[in-house]
Amino acid sequence: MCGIFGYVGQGDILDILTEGIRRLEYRGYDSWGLAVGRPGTLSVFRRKGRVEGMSPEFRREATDAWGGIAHTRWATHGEPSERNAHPHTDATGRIAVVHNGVIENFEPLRSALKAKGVPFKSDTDTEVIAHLIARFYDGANLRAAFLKALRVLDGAYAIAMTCADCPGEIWLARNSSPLVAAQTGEFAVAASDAGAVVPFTRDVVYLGDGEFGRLRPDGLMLWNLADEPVEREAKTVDFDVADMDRGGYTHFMLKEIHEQPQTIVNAMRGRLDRANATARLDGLGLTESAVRDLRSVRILACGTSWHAGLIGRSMIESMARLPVHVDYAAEFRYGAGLVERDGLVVAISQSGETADTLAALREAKRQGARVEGICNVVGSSVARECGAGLYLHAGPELGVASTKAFTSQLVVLSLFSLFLARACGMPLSEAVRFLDALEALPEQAEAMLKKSADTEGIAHAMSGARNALYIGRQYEYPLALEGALKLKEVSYIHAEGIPAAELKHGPIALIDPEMPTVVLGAQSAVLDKMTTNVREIRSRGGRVFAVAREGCDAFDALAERVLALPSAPDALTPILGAIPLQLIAYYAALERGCDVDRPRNLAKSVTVE
Amino acid sequence: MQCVLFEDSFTRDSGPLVSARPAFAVTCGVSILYEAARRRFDTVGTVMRDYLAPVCNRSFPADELQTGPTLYVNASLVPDAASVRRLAQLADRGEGFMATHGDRVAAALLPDGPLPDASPENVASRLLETKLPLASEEMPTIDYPFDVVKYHLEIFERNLGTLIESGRFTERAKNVYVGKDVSIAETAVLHAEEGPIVLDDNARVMDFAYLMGPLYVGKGSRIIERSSVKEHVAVGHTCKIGGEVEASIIEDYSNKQHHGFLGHSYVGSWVNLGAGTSNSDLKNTYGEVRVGVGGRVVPSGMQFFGCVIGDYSKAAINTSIFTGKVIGVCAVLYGFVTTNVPSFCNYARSFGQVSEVSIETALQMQKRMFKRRDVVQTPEDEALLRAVYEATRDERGMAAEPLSL
Repeated sequence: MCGIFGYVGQGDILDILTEGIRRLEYRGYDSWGLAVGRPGTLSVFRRKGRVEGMSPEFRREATDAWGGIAHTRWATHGEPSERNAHPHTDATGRIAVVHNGVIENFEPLRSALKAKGVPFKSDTDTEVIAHLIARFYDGANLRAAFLKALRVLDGAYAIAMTCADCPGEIWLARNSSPLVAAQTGEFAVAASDAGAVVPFTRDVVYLGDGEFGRLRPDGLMLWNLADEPVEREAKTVDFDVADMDRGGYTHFMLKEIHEQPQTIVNAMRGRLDRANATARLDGLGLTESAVRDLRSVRILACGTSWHAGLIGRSMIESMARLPVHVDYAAEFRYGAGLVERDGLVVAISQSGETADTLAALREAKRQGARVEGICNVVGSSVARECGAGLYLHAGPELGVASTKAFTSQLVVLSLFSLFLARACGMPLSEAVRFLDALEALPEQAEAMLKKSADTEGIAHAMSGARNALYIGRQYEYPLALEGALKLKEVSYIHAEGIPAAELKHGPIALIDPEMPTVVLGAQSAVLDKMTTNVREIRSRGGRVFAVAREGCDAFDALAERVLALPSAPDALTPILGAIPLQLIAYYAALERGCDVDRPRNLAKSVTVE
Repeated sequence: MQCVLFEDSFTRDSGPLVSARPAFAVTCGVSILYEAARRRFDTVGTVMRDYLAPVCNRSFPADELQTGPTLYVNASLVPDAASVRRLAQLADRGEGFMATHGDRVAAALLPDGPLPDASPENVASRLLETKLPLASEEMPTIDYPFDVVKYHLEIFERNLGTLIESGRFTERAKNVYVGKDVSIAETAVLHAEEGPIVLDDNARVMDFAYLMGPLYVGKGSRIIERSSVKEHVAVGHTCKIGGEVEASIIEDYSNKQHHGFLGHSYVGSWVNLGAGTSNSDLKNTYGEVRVGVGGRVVPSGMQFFGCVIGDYSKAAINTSIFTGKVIGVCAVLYGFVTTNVPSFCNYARSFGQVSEVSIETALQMQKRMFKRRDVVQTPEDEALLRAVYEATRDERGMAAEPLSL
């Protein structure tokens, strides 16, 4: 995710552009920049880090600006740096582009342009757009050049472009990434979301996928990629300016829970190789032959990432038949810390700065292990230390309790497991079914979010408890751990996750009417056993809230409430099952008056051991 | 319904079965997939390796495809009459589907029309990209050289039954079916109690020959006097068969005229096995036969597997082929064959010599052998053999392996 902003009109252009991207900073904040149009030229300013004031020299230079475009970045290609910050320009500096999204075919385009002598200054996919437009531009018809360039691009984008030859105009394009625009006759403004436009006007036009247009204060003209005119009516935005950083949600946690259908898509984008029924994971730097030489995998992680690692273990072992060990990073670092010969070490960390994980990773490397990282933050310490791995592309996670990063980790681990399994001989039909199931996830996640009222009821029932149990088997055992952790983190109710089969080996002594148990029973393989566990709890007077597969009535007569998950392979059940557990924790915390986004005693990224 | 028989990127793993012929022209269980497709579908197109097309389009012409539902069938699909019938049934429903086998697309129905510019390198991945719903059943394909024998035994009787039902044959004796102008010597013994014996047009069975069904003898082929041809043997047309043969496939124009055993094997076209040539189809340990394929050793899953001999290969007198060996195209064998043999290889390992058969020598041999059967060697035939020589060049690195028994 990044934030893009454009403005043409009166006023202090630099302040307006800066304020615009500051309002979008929740979308990304590792670097920023702007390009202002001045008589006959463009001036560009870029910096690494959060949005701040610009240099006095640039201020003096840009006093005659008529407008411009600005960007706040969440890196996807190329580390956060001034060089990789947007806007990106063509070789002449007369065309500037800001972009939110991922251009999936940027590498062949970049190679083709380089072969024609085009000089590249950054590592980004965005720079390709500027050079492509310049390549097609004949000096007179910018619209034709823009359209031609858009037709060549594959992937997601929201683009704002400006050209020194076309003062007073901003050119826009959208495919999958959001983009809104507005104009009143006196000014024109465009942004990644309406929150940055609302200070100017509440009447905005939402561009559709596959549309591009020219924005001026006197009007917005839109076309589709077939070059047919498109008419769109402006809609009136009804949320408060103060809400806009959270996109209208009361808390970042709730916003990020609701982002999951999109973040699941982002985690898979460009990685589903349907042609070969596998996952395309070039970032790993692993050939099929290297995979077949592997004898084991070791996962190092902390907290929620450790839970994701446990689910990853079940996936890899069942699909690729490779043994997997999962270590708490600190336990590995200060324990025996064995690294297997012919093994692979995978470090999982959302922020990429978790001190325990970083230290464990360095110890594994010291012993000669081959390492991969699974992180959300591009260019983070774990990413740099590993040098190879997979990014989540989930965008910044600002809520302290991890939600969307967890499900994105599970999606990435699913792809990793598929990649390993296919190299180790998984049949084509199984792989095709798994890919079909992965592609169905975003819509299924959306369906789960529509049931949030059901989870509120469960949260209300649990909010008065002092303790809670979460039980599950196989893939849902680590999910039980995660559900318990979420409840602890944000509502401060003590909760414990245990394997359901272990209940009878001690913890069942805790069951009484004051101890609610959340039963995770959506997997088909272990349904009978879970039903038995529920009967054991009920016969001791315990309260049960169950998560079951749609169409399964095994718990209807036994549980106080049953939440239904859409049908999915057992391995993917936790991705959907996490959503109601996150919402239960959220609503329970709300009811108890807890600070959901800033729970006591916690920090987002634990950078101490 | 139109059907396209397509080779894919896995076709080459079948080794010499397909070096000089398209995968849909490999005989298994009496028939080839091309003929089975012709019987079932109105229009048959093909996607095969470029170098095969000029020769193969003569024998296996391809029809022009139209828009409309198109059934893609992997050219390596086991030509089981039941499988082809099942595919036709699925296709007649008109709804897109895909059937797989292991790592291969076995079949797929595209409701909207054929893929433009399909090639063996891209057709399977393009079919996978269409995200067709998967059929519940897998459809077996011939993936490794030994699979042709394995599936041959499984489908032989079914396919022979289909052949008999075609109505081309007359039942001359109980369960003995003959085509036109078939001659059977009075002293020949035909046992059809265990399965039918089918002798196609102009086949000859000479004196004191012993035939045990189920078996098939192709048009114009001769079963030599005193030979013993037993169950699950399929002989192509214009062959001469002597000695002892069981559970084997012999393609058109091949000769095994004299004594010697051939069992659980596949012999390509234009092969000559000299007198006394025998193969082993059972290990001394009675264990599973493991076969070298592409540098790996692959368990065949079979206790009985003899050998695969590619088109145009020759065996000198008394050649002895050990269990589970794969012999390439245009190979010449002498003595004991204890390893796989690359294409275009003079294999006299037990005499301390392994060298290359030059392409010119191979072309001369082809020309001479063709002439004996009144077949004219065309420029397309030459071009095909040259292309096979180039395509198999990498195999001959094996000719440099250390020489020992």
